[in-house]
Amino acid sequence: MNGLMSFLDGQRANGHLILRLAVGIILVYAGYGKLFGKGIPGVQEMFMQGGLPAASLLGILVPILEFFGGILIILGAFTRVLGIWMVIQFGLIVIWIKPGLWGKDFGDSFIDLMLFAAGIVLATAGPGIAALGPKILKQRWAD
Amino acid sequence: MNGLVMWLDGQKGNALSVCRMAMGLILVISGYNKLFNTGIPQVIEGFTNMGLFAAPVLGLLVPILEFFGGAAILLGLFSRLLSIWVVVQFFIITVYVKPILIGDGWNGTRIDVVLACLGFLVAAHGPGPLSLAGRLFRGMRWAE
Repeated sequence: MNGLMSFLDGQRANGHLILRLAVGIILVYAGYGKLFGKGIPGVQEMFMQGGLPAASLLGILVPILEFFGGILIILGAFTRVLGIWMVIQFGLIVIWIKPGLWGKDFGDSFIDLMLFAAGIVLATAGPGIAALGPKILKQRWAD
Repeated sequence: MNGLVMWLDGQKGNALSVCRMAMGLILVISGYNKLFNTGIPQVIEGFTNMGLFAAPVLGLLVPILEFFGGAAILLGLFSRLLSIWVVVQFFIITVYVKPILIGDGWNGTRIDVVLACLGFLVAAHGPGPLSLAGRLFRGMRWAE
């Protein structure tokens, strides 16, 4: 059992890497769909119907942040800052925008809850191994 | 900015606890739905229709593991060992059960991808500071 635990201990850095890649791909894909599939006006309309404040502003910001933020997370730059944004965005989605947390529709919020948790990990632990930020920018806040 | 980064550094353990609880919560709810809303016979039928191997065994095992395993992960008991099962199950779901990784299918699969990744993280790091194992089984690493 101790051998297994030691092996698992050794996988920590890899765990952060694969989480970063998975989260980045999910965000890029979601942002791509909003930017090039639905289009900004469609997203603004969707946000408006959802009763979001500043729907026209958020309708531009969210797709851009998801697409380019996701690319930066994959590359491993500004992951901590982007993690904070994820915590805010997906936290709001779980608590306020899709508040069916305990009902039948909770399955809809699963992915947002997971991305919220992943954002906390990115914000607190940074990008892990194989990341561009620490190599190029050499500023801890830009990790 | 450095103060913020240092504060964030100090929250790594709590981040793990949040991850673990979110993962456990999702598993408990999925397991609860399979056990008490869908029902074991329907789960077995669903698995058979999907062409899963050993559908009658898995249809019984998966709901029980999700519900009770998820509860244990939520509480922070045996979370590392149970996370290995989470990684295996959701990796198999990602590559074999729902192998649609491009197009609209991705929106159905991405949750399984994230669950596998967070499971990997919890298996590697352990449950974080807020856990039952830390209280009950101090020093027994396999129970973490």
